Amino acid sequence: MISAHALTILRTLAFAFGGLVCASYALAALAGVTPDKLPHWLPPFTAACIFVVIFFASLSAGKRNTKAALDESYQSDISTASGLGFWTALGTGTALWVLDIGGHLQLAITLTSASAVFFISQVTLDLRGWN
Amino acid sequence: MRLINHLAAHRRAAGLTQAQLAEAIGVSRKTINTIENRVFIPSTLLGLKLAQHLGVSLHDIFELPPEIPEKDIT
Repeated sequence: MISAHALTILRTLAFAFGGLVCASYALAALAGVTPDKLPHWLPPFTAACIFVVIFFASLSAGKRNTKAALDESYQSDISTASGLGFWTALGTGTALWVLDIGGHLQLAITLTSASAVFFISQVTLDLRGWN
Repeated sequence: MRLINHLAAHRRAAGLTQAQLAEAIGVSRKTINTIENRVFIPSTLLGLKLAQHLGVSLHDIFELPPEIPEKDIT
């Protein structure tokens, strides 16, 4: 059985991987001036993998350990990370619009940068309790 | 606002590790760690659970910093 602490570590690692993929995708789309050459399935596939890994790890951890891993400090962190992701989406979308970058490039960069900020800030907040 | 807390001292006095205290009250070790390091301020409910488990009053664990008279602030 996976402990609550092991579940939080696994979640942090999975979110770090998700953040890395999304940030790389956003930067590559911006650098290439088009997301057409990038595998469009990569960010949603990564998110789906993260969901599956955490879901099965939670099943293995049991109800009590899962509840402990989703306790109030996690709820506070996820709320902060969601807020940062939301404002990143608004800011990035607006900045790209001002720069006259629209269409699917704007959508790809906005969505993946918001996801990257969400994942990375969640990891950063989680790491505060690792010492 | 800063909140003074003595959770680490009371936990050590009870002979518990962060992991044991976390397990006992059903939270993650990270939560106990961040409370002790004054990164996270717990809810009233969690504060009361901690106090109950450690056999002390909530006020023994958490306290407000003394108010500094306005005339002393430069």
